[in-house]
Amino acid sequence: MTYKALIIDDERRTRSLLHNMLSRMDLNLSIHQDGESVATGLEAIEKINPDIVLLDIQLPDGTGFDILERIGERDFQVIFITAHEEFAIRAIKNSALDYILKPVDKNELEKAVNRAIDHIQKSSNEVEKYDALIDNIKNNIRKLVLRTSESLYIVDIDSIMRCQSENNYTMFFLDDGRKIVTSGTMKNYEESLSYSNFMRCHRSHIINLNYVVRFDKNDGGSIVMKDDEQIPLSRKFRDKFFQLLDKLA
Amino acid sequence: MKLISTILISLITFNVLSGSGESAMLKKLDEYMHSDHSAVESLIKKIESQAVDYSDDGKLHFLLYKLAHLSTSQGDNDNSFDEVLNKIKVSSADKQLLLSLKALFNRNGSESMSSDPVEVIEDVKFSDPVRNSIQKSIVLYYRKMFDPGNHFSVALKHAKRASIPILPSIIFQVVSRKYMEQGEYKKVVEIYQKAIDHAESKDQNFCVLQNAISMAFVQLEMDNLDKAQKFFSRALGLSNKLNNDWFRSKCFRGLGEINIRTNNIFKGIRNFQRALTIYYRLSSDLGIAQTHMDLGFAYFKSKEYDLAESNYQLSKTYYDKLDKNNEGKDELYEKLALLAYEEGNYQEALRYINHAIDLRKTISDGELVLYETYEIRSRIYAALGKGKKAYEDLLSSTSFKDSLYSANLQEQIAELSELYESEQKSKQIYEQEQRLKEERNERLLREQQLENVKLRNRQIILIFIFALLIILAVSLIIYFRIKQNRLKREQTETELRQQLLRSQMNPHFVFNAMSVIQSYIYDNNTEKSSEFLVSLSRLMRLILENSSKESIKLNTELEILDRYLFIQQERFESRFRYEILEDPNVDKDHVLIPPMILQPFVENATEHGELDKVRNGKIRISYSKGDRLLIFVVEDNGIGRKAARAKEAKRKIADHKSMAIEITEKRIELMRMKYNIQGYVKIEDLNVEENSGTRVTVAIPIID
Repeated sequence: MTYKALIIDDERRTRSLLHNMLSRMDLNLSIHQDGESVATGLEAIEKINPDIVLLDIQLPDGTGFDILERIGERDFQVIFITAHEEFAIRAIKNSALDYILKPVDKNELEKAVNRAIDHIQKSSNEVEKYDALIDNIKNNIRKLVLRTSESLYIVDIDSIMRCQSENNYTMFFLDDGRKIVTSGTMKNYEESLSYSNFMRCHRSHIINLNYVVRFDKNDGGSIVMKDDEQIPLSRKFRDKFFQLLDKLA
Repeated sequence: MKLISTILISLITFNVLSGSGESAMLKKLDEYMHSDHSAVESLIKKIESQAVDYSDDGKLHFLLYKLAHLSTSQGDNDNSFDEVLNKIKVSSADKQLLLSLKALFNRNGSESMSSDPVEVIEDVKFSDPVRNSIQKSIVLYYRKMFDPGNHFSVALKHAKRASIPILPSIIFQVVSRKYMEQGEYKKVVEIYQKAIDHAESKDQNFCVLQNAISMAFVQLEMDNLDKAQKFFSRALGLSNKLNNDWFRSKCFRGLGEINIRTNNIFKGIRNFQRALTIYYRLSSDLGIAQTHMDLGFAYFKSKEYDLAESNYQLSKTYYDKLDKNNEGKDELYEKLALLAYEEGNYQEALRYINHAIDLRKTISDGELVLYETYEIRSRIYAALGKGKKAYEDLLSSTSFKDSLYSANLQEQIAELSELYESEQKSKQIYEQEQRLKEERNERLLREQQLENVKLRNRQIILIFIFALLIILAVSLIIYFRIKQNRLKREQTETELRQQLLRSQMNPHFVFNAMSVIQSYIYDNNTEKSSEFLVSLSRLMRLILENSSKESIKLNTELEILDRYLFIQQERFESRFRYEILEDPNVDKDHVLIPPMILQPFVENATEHGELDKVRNGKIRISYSKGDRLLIFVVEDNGIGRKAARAKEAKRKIADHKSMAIEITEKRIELMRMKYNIQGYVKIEDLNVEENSGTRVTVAIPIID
C-alpha cells in the first residue's frame, strides 16, 4: 500500500530537501509538496487527503497549529518541522506528537515517518492528541498525553499527584484516584513535568509538591502524600526537596 | 550547694515572673515604691483586690511590700495588714512568716501575737532559699543566738538574688534591729551604711530613705548630731521627692530634736510644728502625742511654762486615746513632773513622777532609764522636805546606775575613747585637707585662666577639624554615589549587550540558515553552499567580535546589516529586495555607534513583516546627520505593525518587535546618561489605509 505524504513549509528549499530525502528512502510514499502557507496547506489537505503531513510551524500567514485547528477531519499523522521554537516543541512533546528539527537528520526523519506508518497500520486514533496540542498551545501547556497499551489519556498536569516507575512502565497516580500505567520509562516524562511543581525524590518516584501533606522523619525520611502513600526521599534529593518546599511556602 | 541554690533562685524568679498580669503589677509596685507614696497606696489597694489569684511567690512579694509600706507609713494603725493577710489566701507557712516579720517590725505588735512567733515559725519547713533565709533570720533573732556575721551574709545573699527587690532591705532591717538591741551601735551604723549603698546601687529611693532615717536616729542615739543632721536632711529631701508624709514628719521630729540639743530652741519649735501639722493630717494619735511632748519640752527649755503645760496636756490627751502604754508615755509623765517641779507644784510633781515610775517598771527596757526617774523623785522629795525618802531614791538611782554600768563600763569607756580618738583624727585630717584644698584652689584659679585660653584655642581647632571631617564625609558619600551609579550603568550595559547577542544569534535564524546550506548540499550545488556558508560565518564572526564592544564603526554596522539581509534574502529566495543608502556627508569609517543598534528592527522587518506577502518586498535603510545626532531610518512595505501584532498574539510566541524597541530605548537612555544627548526611537505606519509599511527612526548621539 502506498501512503500519501504532504509537505507544508513556506521555504521552497526545505520542501524540496524533504522531498529529496523521503524519495531516497525505501518507503511506499507518494510525496506532495504544495503547501506553503496556512491557506494553501488547508487546500492541499482537502484535495490530497494525505496519510502523513510534514508540517512547518512558522508559516507566513499563521502557524501549523492553525491548520490543525481549522481542518475538519484530522485522519492523518502529523510530523512537525521546526528550526527552534522551545515553547512549541514542549507543547508537541506533551501531546505525544512527533517533530523533527532543522537541519534535518535523515535517520530521524525516517524513524518519524515509520512511526507514523505504524500508527496508520494499527489505525490508532490520534484525534485526541491534536485536541490536547491545541489546548496546550492556547493554555500554556497544562495537558499531558499518556499512552497506554489500549488507550490514550489526556490529563491535566496539575491533577497528577505523583508517578512511579517499575521496569519499563510508569504509573501515574491522579488526584481523582485513577492510576494510569504507561509503557514509557519515567525519563520520558520527567522533562514535561519539570516545568510544574514536580520533583524527583527517588530513583523511581516523581511527586507533585502541591500534594505533599507532610514529611515523616522515621526510617531515614519519607514524604506523605495526600492519598496517605509514603514515598521514600533519597538522601541526594533531600536538600532540593526542602528548598522547593520553602519556595512553595 | 552554691549551684543548687542558684538554680532554686532562678526558679523562683521564673515563678514570680510567670504570671503575666501579676508580674507586671508587682514590677509596677517595685517602681512606684521608689517614686511616689500616694501612687503606691492606690496601687496596693488595686493589687489587694486581685492578689488572691497570684502565685505563692507573687503573694509573698506583694505582702512583703505591704508590710514594708505599713511599717513606715501608718505607724499605729496596723490592723489592716492582718485583714489583708486573711483576705489573700497565702499558705499557712507564709502566713506565719509574715506575722512573725510583722511582730519584729512592730514592737507593740509582738504583744498581739498569741504565742511566741519563733515557736510557730521554727517548725515550718521552707524549701526555697528566700523564705528559708527570712525564717532563719527571725528564728535566730528571737533565740538570741544570732550569729550575724554568718547567717546575715547568707540571708542577704539569697535576698539579693531573689526577684523581690525589697527583700534585702528587710533583711538589713532585721539584722540592724538585732544589733540595736545588743547596743552595738557601731555595727548598726555599718549595716545601715551597707543597706543605703545597696539600695542606692539599685536605685531604690524608698529603701534609701528608710535606711537613711534609721541611720539618722542611730546617730542621734549616739549623739553624733552632725551626722544625724546630715542623714535627716537627706531623708527629708527623699521623702519630699517620694511624697511620703510619714517619713517627712519623722525627719522634722528628728531635726527638731537636734535643734533642741544644740540649744537652737526656736528652730526646734518650728520643726516640731511642721511634724505636728503632718501628724494631724495623717491623724496619727501616737505621732501627735509624741510631737506635742517634744514641743512642750522645747517650750519648757525656753522657760515658756504655760505653752509647755498646754502641749504636755494635749500630748496626754492623745496618749490616753491610745489603749496601750505607748512609747514615750512614761517620758511625758517625767516631763510633766519636771515642769511641775520647776513651777513649784511639788505635790503635783510627785504624783506625776510616781506615775512615770509605775509605767517604767512595766515596760521591758524601762529599767534602763529608771535611775533618772528616781533621781528626779529624790529632788522632789527634797523640795518637799522629805529627806529620808529623798535619800532612799538617790540610793536606788545610784545602785541602778552602778548595776547598769559596772559590767560594761570599762568596755564602754574604751570604746568611747576610741571613738573620740578616731573622731579627733578624722577632724585633723579634715582640717589638713581643708588647708590643702585652699592652697590648691588658689593654684587652680591661676591655672584656670591659663587653661581657658588654651581651651578656646583647642575649641577652634576642634571646630576646624570637625568641619574638615564633615566635608570629607560628604565628598566621600558623593564619590561613592557617583561610583555606584557608574557601576550600575556598566552592569546594565553588559546585561543589554548580552541580551543583544542572544537576540542576534537567534537560534531560529541560525538553524534556518544551516538548513538552507543543507538544501544546497542535497542539490549538489557546491558553489552556492560554500558561498552561503562563508556569508553565514562572516556574519557570525562580526556579531561575536562586535556585540560586546561599547561602540563600533558605522561601516562595521552597515556590513553586519548587509550580511544579515543577504542571508535572509537567500533563505526566502529573493522574496524581498533591500538597499542601504549611504550619506556622503557622514564619514562611515570614523563615526562610532553602539553595535547593532538597528539590527532588531531589520530582523523584525524580515522575520515578521511578511515581506513575502506583498510580492515586491522592500527594505530600505538610510542614515543622515542631525543636530549632534545620527539618524537611521528603516523602512519596509510589509504588513505593518498592527497586523504583525495580531499575528504575533495568535502565535503565542514572544513579541519580538516590542522587545527590540525596549532594548533599544534602554541603550539610548544609557547613552543619554553618558553623553547628555537625548536620542529617540520612533515607529510609524507608512500606509494606514492599506495597513502596510513601517518606518522606524532611530536617532543616537554622535560620539566623537
